[in-house]
Amino acid sequence: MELRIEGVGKAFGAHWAVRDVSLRCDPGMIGLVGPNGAGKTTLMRMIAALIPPTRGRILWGGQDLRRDAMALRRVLGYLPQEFGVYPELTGRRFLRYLAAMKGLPDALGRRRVDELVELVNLEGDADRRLGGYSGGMKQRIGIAQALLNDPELLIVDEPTAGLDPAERIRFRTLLASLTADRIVILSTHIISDVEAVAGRLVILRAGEIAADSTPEALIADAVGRVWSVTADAATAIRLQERGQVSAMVTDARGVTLRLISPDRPHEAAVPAEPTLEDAYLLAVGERAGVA
Amino acid sequence: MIATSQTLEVRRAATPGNGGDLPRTRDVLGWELRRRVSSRRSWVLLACVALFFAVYLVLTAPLGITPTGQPIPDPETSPHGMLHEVVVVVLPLFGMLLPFLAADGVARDARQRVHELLMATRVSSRAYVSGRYLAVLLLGLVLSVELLVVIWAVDVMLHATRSGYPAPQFGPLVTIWVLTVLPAMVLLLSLSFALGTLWPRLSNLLKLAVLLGWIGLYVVGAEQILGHLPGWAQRLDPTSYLLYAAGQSRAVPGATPDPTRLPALQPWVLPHVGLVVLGVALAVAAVAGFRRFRDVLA
Repeated sequence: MELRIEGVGKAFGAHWAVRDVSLRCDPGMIGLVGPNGAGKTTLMRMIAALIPPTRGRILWGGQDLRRDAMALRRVLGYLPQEFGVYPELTGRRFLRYLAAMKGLPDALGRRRVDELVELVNLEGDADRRLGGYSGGMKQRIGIAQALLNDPELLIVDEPTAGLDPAERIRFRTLLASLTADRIVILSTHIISDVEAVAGRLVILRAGEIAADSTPEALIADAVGRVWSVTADAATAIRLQERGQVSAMVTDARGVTLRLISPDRPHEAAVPAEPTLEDAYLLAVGERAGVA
Repeated sequence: MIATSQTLEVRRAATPGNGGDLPRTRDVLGWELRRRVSSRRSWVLLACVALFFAVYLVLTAPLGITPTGQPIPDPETSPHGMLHEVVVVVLPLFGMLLPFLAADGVARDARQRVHELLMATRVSSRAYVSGRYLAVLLLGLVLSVELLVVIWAVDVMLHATRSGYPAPQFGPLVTIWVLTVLPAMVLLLSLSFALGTLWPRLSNLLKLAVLLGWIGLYVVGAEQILGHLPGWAQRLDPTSYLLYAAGQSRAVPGATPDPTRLPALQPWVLPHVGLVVLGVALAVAAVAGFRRFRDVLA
């Protein structure tokens, strides 16, 4: 079970959405993060064999996807960022439909669907038509369908979008429980989701890898570059221009800023303990020349 | 949490060699039919089609007596009357319905954003498109059989309620239906399906193009378009209007002038089988040309 991405790029017309990305993925969770338009979804679609790379190659178990994408599809679970459903089908029937498309025999498909409906907490609504589902319920159907074939490679794009905090944590825990014997690629904007479950973090920016490391190493890199300063409003505005602000709290003492900057941004600034969010902003910002 | 006793079984089911294109095609077909059956819209369509054509046939059937008090010369329940009923009254409108039934057979998935979920499964492109095509074909068949039943029921009613209408004969009606409605249906469904599958983003436009093409055949007239061609080519007319005209002794010399008898049908069989083959060939082209790497994702 190995996924290799070798010098992959994808161009849409003259625009390169992904450029020269190389990764090697073994079982475990990989968090894929990056700003909007960084190329995360395009990269995941290429890995899911939904769109072909313009250059480079993707290998699953040593097989180039261009030659044998079916080998990957047999073991793939994929949750796209945006997906539709058939509103006339019930949640349970829709899952059984996709189970059949994934090649599960009918009886096994039924059992698997029953199990997953329970897992995503939809027992009470599984026999309702999908047309009446809320966004969060639809998202849970999406999560369930991705797990139908017990995938060896699970690709989830913004899986917690639309879920309430309790459901988000529940899903995060579920993802964490899956990583022992499979590769899980999780793309998200929510850094705390990645921090909680991913052992490896890949940060994409403008289609390129800005960082590929563990969350701990990224945080260690940020030590000495995160500052906290309390100042009056006018100074706070000036400080915002000098560094990237990761947090800002206004109270009676003034404005307390959390700043990411290679140098002490103000004489009153004190070093702060970096978080993964700070490290992410640093990695993304450095490439942009912000910090 | 997810690692249950089913894990091995599920993974084993996903191994190569477990099934091929045929079982997957059957799955795609079966689930598409279930989906359509689950949709209220399908039942409303069936009911509306039956009701519309029943009313339309009754309204367009001449009263049993001419204004001069003579029996009508060509009642709808006679064999030739049924040919008129099917070819001139029903088929033009039925044909207009078919692009809307077929063009979205695959294209709708792209529009509804289900495409990405389906294309990430192990279902092959061949099985997916073939299954959808067969589903569309079966639905067209159901609609056309419904029409056959409606025509028969209206004819029985006309015979029972109006003077001058002989008892309808089921055999000639089925023969006419098989020879005229089925080939046109297969051709129009296949053409619409193929165009919608190959250019899903343009499916609405393509539906309109097929619809206008079909209407154009009637507006310009099959005789105008095909009249100068050899006889066998004229018989490729999907509207079958030339077949009806043969019964009217207008297009084909030597045809029977007797309105109670059908024109000779045998010369039309092979060309109309050709229309069905052409339809299937279009579907095969759609299967071969389907791009799994869909540009709608770009």
